[in-house]
Amino acid sequence: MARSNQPPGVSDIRLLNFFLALALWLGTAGWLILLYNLALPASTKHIVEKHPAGVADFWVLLSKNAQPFVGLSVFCILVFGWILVSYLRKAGLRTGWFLPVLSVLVHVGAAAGVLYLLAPVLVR
Amino acid sequence: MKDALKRYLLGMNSGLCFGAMLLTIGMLAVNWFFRGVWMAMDMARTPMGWILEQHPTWKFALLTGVPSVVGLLIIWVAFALMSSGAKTIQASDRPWGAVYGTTFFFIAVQALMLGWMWFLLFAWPPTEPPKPEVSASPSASPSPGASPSPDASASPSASPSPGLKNPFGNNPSASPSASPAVATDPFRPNQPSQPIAGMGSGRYVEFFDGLTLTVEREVDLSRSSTPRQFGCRDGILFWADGEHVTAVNLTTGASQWRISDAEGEDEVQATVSGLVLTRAQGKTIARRSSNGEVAWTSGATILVDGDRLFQVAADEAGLGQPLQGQCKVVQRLDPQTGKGKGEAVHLKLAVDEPQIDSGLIVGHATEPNNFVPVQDTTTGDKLWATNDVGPYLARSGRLYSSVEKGTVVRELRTGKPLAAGHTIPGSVVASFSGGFVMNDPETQELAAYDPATGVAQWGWKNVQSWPLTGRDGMMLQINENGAMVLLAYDGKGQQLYKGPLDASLAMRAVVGAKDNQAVLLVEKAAASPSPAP
Repeated sequence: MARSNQPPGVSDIRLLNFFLALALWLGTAGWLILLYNLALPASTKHIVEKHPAGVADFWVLLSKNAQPFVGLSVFCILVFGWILVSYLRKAGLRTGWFLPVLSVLVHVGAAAGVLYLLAPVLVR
Repeated sequence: MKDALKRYLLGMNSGLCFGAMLLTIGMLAVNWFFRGVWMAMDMARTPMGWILEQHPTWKFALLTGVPSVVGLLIIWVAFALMSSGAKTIQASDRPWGAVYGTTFFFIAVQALMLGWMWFLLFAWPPTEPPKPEVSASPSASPSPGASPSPDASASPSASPSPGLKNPFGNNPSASPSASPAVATDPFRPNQPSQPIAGMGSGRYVEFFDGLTLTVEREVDLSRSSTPRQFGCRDGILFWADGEHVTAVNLTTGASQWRISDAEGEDEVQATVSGLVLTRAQGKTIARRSSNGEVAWTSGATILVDGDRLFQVAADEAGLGQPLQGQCKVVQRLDPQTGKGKGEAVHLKLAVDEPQIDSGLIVGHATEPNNFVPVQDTTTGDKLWATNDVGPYLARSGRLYSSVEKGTVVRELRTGKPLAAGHTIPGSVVASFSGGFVMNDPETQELAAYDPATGVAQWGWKNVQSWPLTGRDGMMLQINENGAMVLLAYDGKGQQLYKGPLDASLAMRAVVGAKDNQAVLLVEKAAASPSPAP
C-alpha cells in the first residue's frame, strides 16, 4: 500500500481529503434523513390548502412512497460513497479544490431546496 | 517540504477557508430569503419559546440575528485561519496542525449548517404520546395512524336538507334524529345506556381511497346527533353529545377516552394543536385531545383560522367575554393556555359578523358607509375593501361576495378578482384549494369552477340533497336514471368515488378527513334496527 516514491506529507493530504469526503457523505445522508423526517408533517392535508400544487404533490408523493424513498436514498448514498472513494483513489494535488467546492454547492443547494419546498407549507 | 506540496497546502488552506465563508454566506442568504419559514415556526412548546411567541420582534431577532452573528463569527475565524495558516505553511516544514485545523473547521461549519436546518423539524407540533384513557373503556387503544400533523380542524359545515338553501348561512345544523332505537352504549358494552327521548342510531363510515365505500365502523350513536356535535382529526373522531365528550379511534372503532361528567358540551368547534374545542352554553372548553382533560375554558368569542385561534371583542376590556357590538379588537390566543398571545390588535375599522381566514379578518362595516373591509389580524391595517355588502364567505384564501346576479370571487389578501372577473351565477356551496362549487338556483345544478379562469369544470344535475362538504372534499347524492348514486370529490375536484348508495343509509355529514379517507357520518333509516352490541 505504501508508495515509496510519494513525497512526504501526501499521506496526510490523503487523510484530510478522506475526512472531507466522509463529512460530505455524512452531510448528504443527513439531508436525506431530514427530508424524510419532514415529509410526514408536510404532506398532511394542511399543505393541500396551500400552493403551489407542485410542492404539495412533492410532499404527498414523498410521504406516500416513504419505503421506496428510503431504498432509493440508501442506494444513492452508496453510489455517492463509491464515487467519492473512486475520486479519493485518483485525486491528485491539482484537484484539491474539488471537495470543498462540492460541499458548499451540496449544502447551500440542499438548504435552498428544502426551504423552497417548505415555504408554501409553513408560510401563509 | 517540496514547493509543489507547499503550494498545494496553501491552496487547500485558502480553499477550505473560502469554502467555509461561502457556505456561511450562502446559508445566511438562503435563510434570509426564506425568513418567513423560520418565523412560521410555533415555538410555544417551551417556556422560552412561549415568551418568544408573545414577542414576534424578539423571535425575529433570535431566528435571524443569532445565525447572522454566528455566521459573522465563522467568517471572521475563517479569515484568521486563512491568514495564520498561510504563514504557518510558508514558515514550517510540518504545518500539519494548521492544515488539519482548517479541514476540521470546514467540516464543523458543514455540520453546524446542517444542524441549523434540522431546526425545521420543530416547525410542527410534536406527536402526542398515547396516554391512558380517562374513562373506563375496555377497548381503548391509541391511534396507530395518528400523525404529528397540524391538519385543519374538522368542518361539519353542511347537512342534507330537502332543498338547497343559502350556503352563506352560518353552520347549518341538521335536525336531531327522532328515530327510536335500542340503546346500547358501545363505549360501555356492559351497561345499557340511559334511554333518552329522541334517540337515534347511526354509524360511521370510513371512505377508503375512493376505491370502495365500506362500512368500516358501526357505532350506535345512542342519542340524537347533529353534524355540529362531531369533529375529526388525525383519525380520531370527537363527539360531544351534551352529556359526554368522547374520542373514538376511527381505525379501531374503539373509544380512546370518554368524559362522563362533561359540562354540557353539545358542539365540537374545532380541533387545534392537540386540543379539541367544544362549546357549551356560550362557553368554549378546550380539552386535551389525548385524554379529554380540560386545558382551559373561555367565555370569549373565539374564531378558528386553520390551526390558529383568535378572540374578538369590542375593546380590550371585552377580551375574554362574548363579542358584544362591533368587533374592534382581535387577539391571537395561545392554544395551550387559552390566554392572549401577544398584544391585542386594534382594527382600523369596527366590523360586524367577523370571519377570519388566512390571518385576515373580514367583516361588515357601517361607518361611514356600508362596505366590507379586509383587515390584517397582525397589524389591524385595512388591506382593501369591497362595496359588495351582501352575504360573504371567507374561505380558502378567497372572499366570496354575494351580489344580485351571483357571486363575485376575490383573492382575500389583495382583493384581486378571481374567476377572470366573472360573476358566477348562484351561491357558493364549497370552497377548496383547487376550486369552488356553486349552486345555480335557476338550473338547480351544481358546478365546480376553476378559481383562476372561472370556467366550470364539472357539473351535476338532479342533486338530491344538500352536498356534504368538509375542508378537503365533498360528497353528494344524485339521482341517476332513477337510482341513487353517491359521489365523492377531493379538494382539487378529482372524483374519488362513484357508487350506488345503500337505500338504508342517509348521509349526515363529512366530519373530517384522514389522509385520503373522508370520514362520513351516515345515519341509518329510522326503521332499520340498531347494530348489535
